[in-house]
Amino acid sequence: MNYLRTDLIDRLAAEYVLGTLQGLARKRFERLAKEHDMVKRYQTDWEEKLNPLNDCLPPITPPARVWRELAEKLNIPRPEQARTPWYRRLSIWLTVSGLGGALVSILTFFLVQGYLHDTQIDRLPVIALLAPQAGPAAIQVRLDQISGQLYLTRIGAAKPSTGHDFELWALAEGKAPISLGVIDRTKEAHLYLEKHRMDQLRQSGTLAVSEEPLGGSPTGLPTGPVILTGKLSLASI
Amino acid sequence: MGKDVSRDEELALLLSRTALADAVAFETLYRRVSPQLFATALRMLRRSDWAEDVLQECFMKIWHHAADYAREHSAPMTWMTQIVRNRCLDWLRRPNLEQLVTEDDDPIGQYEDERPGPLQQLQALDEARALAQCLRKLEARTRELILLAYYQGESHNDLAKRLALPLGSVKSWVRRGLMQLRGCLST
Repeated sequence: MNYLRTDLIDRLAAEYVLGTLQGLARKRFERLAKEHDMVKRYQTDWEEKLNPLNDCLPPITPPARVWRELAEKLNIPRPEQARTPWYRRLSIWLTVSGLGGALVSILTFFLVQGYLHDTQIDRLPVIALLAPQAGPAAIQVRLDQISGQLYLTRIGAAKPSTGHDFELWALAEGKAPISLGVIDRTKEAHLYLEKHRMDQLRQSGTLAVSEEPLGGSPTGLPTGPVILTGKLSLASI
Repeated sequence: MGKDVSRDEELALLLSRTALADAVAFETLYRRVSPQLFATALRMLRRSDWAEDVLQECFMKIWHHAADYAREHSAPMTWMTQIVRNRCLDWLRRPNLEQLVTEDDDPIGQYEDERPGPLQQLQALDEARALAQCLRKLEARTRELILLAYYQGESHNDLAKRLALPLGSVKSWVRRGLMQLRGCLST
């Protein structure tokens, strides 16, 4: 087949991956790649060749709403619901329903199991206490270096106003703030940090929490007021 | 090229679990790769709301088509990036696309003021050094055309207009530039 001359295929594959092959020619190339492994190989070869151009872009964490909506569309359960063991749910229910005293002591055995998880988190080093300009600390931040998780425990009253979320930022002198993610409204929230984010965290001196529109800052930089700040204690990481 | 093998293995595993409708694996995959894919989409579309829509569509595609991923053909990140790039290109070529934002409202511009340009960052990545060096060997104008086409999904026509060059010259410069890259990368 004349069309399958390799130098022509190579050129088309290059322009396809670059994006300048358009319209019908683009569709035609896609069809050829489906039908002929050799054409597909040229295509993936160019994809690999040019992909470092993407790898070198500084990653930008998308707003939390992207995942939320995606999980909704695909019917994926919220992780809190899926992962909370029944005895923890029971403990919340007991508090809510006001059943105290005797019943609780009968159930202590089960509740202790619930606390085990917290105790493990308790062993992680506290790397920052976030406090408002005047007042006691409101959020305690712990870091699990191995899994790259930040655990945020609410120990004070600070809460985002209706229609807003809290977002956590790492601040380094002379650099733009780096978003570490939107903080869930639960008492215990956690954020996963990619390796490069962890490196950026190490180079930062301060953490800050700002109030942002639901789902986080639309621009990737803080847009709302800073509510809490805290010095990072680097000795513990 | 020295690839990050353990990362590739991990992502390939997450993709294969996703193919079995494992929601936890899919969420982990999302957390791992969405920042890089979002950066790619934002760079091409230059509007955060569009990039978010595209990212969501692409992850729906990954959820439904993870079984199509073939390890022997490409690295997991390359496969997913290509899904995003293709979707962005389609998006940019919609017939009634609103006017693109001006450079001043550029949502990624503000990240870049103090950052090195793509070529310098390429230089910093081991596996990308060869590509950076080969790009540098191209004539400045050819390099500019190729980077604009790749990063902003510009067509031959867009490029000709933006740089006030004849369409035919743009086509042949891009073509020649790509073949020079191929030659340079294979030595």
